[in-house]
Amino acid sequence: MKKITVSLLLALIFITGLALRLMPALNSELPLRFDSYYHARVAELINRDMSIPSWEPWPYGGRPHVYPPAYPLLLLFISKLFMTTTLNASRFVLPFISSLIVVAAFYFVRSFKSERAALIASFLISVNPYLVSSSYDSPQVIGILLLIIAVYFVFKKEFFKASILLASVFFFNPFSLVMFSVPLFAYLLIRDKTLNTAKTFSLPIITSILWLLLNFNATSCYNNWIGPLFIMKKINPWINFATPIFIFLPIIAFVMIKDLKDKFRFFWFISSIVFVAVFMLHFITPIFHPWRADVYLMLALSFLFSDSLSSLNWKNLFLFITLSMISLASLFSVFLASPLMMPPLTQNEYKLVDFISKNNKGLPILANHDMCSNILTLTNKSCLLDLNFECIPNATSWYDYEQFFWVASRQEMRDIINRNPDISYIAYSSGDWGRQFLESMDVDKVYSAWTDSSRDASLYKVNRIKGNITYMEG
Amino acid sequence: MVRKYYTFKQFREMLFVITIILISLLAILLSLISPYKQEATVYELWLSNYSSTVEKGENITFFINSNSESNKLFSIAIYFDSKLKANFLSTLNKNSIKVNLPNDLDKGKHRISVVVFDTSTGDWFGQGHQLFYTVNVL
Repeated sequence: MKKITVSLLLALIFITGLALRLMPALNSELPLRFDSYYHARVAELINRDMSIPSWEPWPYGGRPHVYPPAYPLLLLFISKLFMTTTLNASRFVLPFISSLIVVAAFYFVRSFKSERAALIASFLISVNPYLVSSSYDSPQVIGILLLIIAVYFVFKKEFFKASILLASVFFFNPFSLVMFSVPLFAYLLIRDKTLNTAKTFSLPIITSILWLLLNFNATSCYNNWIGPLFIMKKINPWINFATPIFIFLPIIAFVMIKDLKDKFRFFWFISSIVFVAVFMLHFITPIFHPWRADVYLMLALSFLFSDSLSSLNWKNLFLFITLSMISLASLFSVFLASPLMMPPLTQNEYKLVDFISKNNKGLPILANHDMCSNILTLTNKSCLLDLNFECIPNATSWYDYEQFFWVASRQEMRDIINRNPDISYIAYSSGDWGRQFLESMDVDKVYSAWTDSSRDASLYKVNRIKGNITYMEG
Repeated sequence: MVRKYYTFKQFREMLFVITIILISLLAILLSLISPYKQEATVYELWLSNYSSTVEKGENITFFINSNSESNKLFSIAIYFDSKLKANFLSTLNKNSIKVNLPNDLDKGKHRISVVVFDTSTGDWFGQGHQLFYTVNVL
């Protein structure tokens, strides 16, 4: 292929990746996904106190701050550079960095494989719906970008450079480091010397241990049992959707691998197996963030397919066209029918947040995760629930707050309210379940907003007599 | 004039390049047309002074509003303990409804509700959109 053709194709692939990732962000005035709000709040906290926080004031009651600070610092820097808010900066930073992965993948694959393989890898990454839709909330995309460069240095046997990059990944997103460390460790132990393994992992291990020691108090509030419960309830539909793909695609990719002597194939093969295994861990623990394994698996499979499909016979060409068509069809469904590319709240729900901002007297509000995250970020009011598996200060109450929107009877709802005196106001978003139970109790419905196509977003005030709520007819 | 023939290898290469170009252009088009914008009219109801206690004979004020200047009429009903007390048509443009609590309320809890029905849609969510305030008469 001519050099100019390759350059033009790479430019087109990059623009495609950039458009797919940036356009949804441009069309929403607020960040699209949950985690962005949290990181923007941390950035604001750093800006206010001019130090890395050891305690964060949210949700109601606060909790120790444990997340490494590189991403909020980057957000703060970019917001100062472009004279905008950290919340606004968080709309664009991650989608832009996510599209840089497309270019990094090209140069990475070209260094060890052919130019065609590099084009296939960058193209599959550019239009992969999993990778596109994960470009908005977590600094894992920064981690992935750095990790691809780190793997490049490992393959080039420049272990110290790889070690520096791995250590820096920890400060952006520890989970992506954990995710990549297992296959990288296995690869180095099997294919290289033990000394090189030690060299590569020296800095990330030292920095991780130092950080954990300095923030040891924060590790005490980790609670494992509540995570799988939440995953089964909240993320289960997604898991049902993802599981066949997670089984089917790796099988095709593995069947196409000719031999595993090649370091490139060997590494991405191990990685794929590890990522599938992490995904299956969602039944046991949330600590490795198994719902994020899709992104890593799609990345590894893109590299594996790029290698397998680069010899362009009829069978490979057919499979490449099929994969491209499936990606495009999935992109259509993600863009047009899934809430992944929409703002977390609907217009009437934002009106409710606005009402809370102007009227609530400071008592904490019980609301679902998305509503709470917006209340905590956009108003100076407090909310009881904030999604954070790493630190759950009061697991019993937390479980009640989670369970509130999933109850099967009003008795169950009343017990939750009576057990938790902090529940004074309850915000219901349009999609929340159980308001008929709540309305049969002694509450005031003080606010309601709706559109022609959505149910009410409402605020309820809980009336207690001697600390307890009663049914209306009683 | 020399006619140029392509080999199968070159043809496959062309198909490969065309696939990338075509899928990329379609994906860019998708990114341009798809992202959804929220431009719906939002209707609001809210209750004033909801944090204070209201005594018999006092007023409760319900506010209704929308973010459009539409003159769309809504059917508004006021209930005392699920008994209809008033029913009228109104727009939702910055109106307020004052409800006077009667002096002869029995002991116990009473719920005063304002329910808004969208007459144009037949209110296909069934129960209208309501606010309510609970008064506990001791």
